[in-house]
Amino acid sequence: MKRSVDTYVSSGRLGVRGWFYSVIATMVVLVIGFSVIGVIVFARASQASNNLISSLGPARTALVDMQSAMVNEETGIRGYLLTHDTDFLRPYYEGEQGLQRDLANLKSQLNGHVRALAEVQGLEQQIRTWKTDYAAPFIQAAQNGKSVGLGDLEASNTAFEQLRGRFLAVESELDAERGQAMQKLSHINTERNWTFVSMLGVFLLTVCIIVLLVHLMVLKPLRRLRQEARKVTEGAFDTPLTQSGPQDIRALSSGLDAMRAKLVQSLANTELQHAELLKQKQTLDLQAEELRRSNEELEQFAYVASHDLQEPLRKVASFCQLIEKRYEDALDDRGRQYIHYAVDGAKRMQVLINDLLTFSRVGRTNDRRERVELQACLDSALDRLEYAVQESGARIVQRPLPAVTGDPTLLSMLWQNLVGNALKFRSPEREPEVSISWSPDPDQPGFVRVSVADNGIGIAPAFAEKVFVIFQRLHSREAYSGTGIGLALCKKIVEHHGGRIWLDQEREVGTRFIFTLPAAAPLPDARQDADDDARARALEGSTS
Amino acid sequence: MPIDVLLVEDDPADELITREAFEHNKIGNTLHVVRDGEEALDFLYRRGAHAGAVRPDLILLDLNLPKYDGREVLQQIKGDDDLAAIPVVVLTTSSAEEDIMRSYRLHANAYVTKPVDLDQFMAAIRQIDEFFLTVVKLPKSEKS
Repeated sequence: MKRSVDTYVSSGRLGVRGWFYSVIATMVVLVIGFSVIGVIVFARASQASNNLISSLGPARTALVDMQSAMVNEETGIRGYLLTHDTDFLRPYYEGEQGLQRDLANLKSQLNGHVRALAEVQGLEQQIRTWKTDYAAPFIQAAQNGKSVGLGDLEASNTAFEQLRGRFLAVESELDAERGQAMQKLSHINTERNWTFVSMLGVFLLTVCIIVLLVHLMVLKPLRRLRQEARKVTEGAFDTPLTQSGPQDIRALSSGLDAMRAKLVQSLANTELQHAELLKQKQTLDLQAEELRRSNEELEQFAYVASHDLQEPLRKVASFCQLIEKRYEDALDDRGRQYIHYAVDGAKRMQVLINDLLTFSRVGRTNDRRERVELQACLDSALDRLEYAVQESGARIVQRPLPAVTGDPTLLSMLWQNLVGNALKFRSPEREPEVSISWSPDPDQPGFVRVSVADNGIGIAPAFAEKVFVIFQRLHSREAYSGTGIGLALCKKIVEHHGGRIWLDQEREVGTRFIFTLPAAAPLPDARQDADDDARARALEGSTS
Repeated sequence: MPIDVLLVEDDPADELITREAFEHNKIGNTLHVVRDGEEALDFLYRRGAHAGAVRPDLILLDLNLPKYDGREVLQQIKGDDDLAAIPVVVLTTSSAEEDIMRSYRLHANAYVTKPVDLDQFMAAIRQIDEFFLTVVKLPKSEKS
């Protein structure tokens, strides 16, 4: 079977469940990725803002404090030099203590800002230089009662001015750093905003892609399968189902397609068988027609035999007899004997023709299949044999016979031949007696077995089969008349009904024929059998 | 009272035997003989050569005849209001069940198979004659 080109080969390895898990996994990965990015972005933003709030801001304040402390120190020293009042020196000593602390704070706050730190270290160096070069010698000189030269004072002023300039430089450096930090923070914030917007965009895009993919890879193949299945349902059995989409949908399609293929195949088989049957029917019809024609021809032949063949015979016999009547005086005994033989031959020929006709017609002209009382058939046969029964003084012993399925005319013929034979071949030494009995056939269910026994001359076992052959005679015509067709006819009738007939070879006195016929009704049970036996005995009493 | 009998028989031999039987039985009936079905109908309808024919009181009809066979003749007779009254005895060699059935269905009054034995044949003819001459009452013949 042709397979359609698979449009979705790439999705073939995944099942619907695989698709479901893939979508979930993608979402989970996305969420985790976005969370990490978010955390990083937030960390950077907060670091930048921390830098502003907890480093550069306080450093600037500390610098300002240091500068004012330095101004106070210088002012205090100058006051001391003028007045020699030690109170003026208090800011100097306090400032000396605070300077160390402030510098340490400043350094720790500016940790990481290399240039600012270098500036601060330069500043510290300059402060120390000013203090050792000017402040400390001035105080020493004043304490020793020496006065400080104007030139020295001028130099100290200049140095201090330089120191202040240094302060300004550090300040401006810090301001520059702060400006940079502000700019960085703002930059990071912008970056953060864009990151979130992009994440949202990526997320939406991913959702869209997933929806599209699921639609293409899962829903579309399903819809296609549904449409194709409907087409098949509507009768297009030859349309193969496309196998596309996820692996389990492909498996489903493939299963359905196999089912469809199987159906198509069995449909084709059925059609093939139908055609075969049709062919057989045609052959049978032809044969039936042939048979019918052949039967018609046979019937025609039978009719010709019954009429046209007998006509000349009748002429032969009649005119021979007319000669005998008319020319009685002219004939001697020999002449009369000739005529007798001619007439007898013609008559026997006629009987033969009629018997043969009867034989050939069994099952053709009489072919009924109905419920027949075997007893009624026997009674009608006995009526016809009334003369023979009376003449022989025979005793008929029987129990009531069952109903069978068959043709009443043929069954009467059967009885007439069997009982007729029993009377004809009676023994001169005994009073003839014919006993008829029956029982269900033990060999063939649904059949009855009927026995017809007499006490006549009997048949030698050697002839047990021969007696049923048509025209077979065991005795001379002088001893027993007949055409030798009777038992052949009986056999044909019984076999036409589906039964069997045979000679009981173990019988020592007389002859016993046994035949089987299909029973008409279910056989009676044992109790009824007993009743029948009782009635049979009563009947025997009345007939004998 | 003698009656007119029409014998429809194509076989001269059978005609001879029937005549012999009539003579043998000393029956004073008039025997008219026709050879085939067509002639039989001509006789009954007084056509052609049989224009002056008498109306028979009894018809002995063979079945196998040239031209129209006995069954057709029987059908004609029994289908005709006037002729249907004439008793018809089918006298034939055939003992076929279908011939017997068919003849009676066509309203034959009797069906007799010609016996092979001459004596029986004579007896049959005598019995037919006796029966229709003395036993039964025949319809009044409207002789013209």
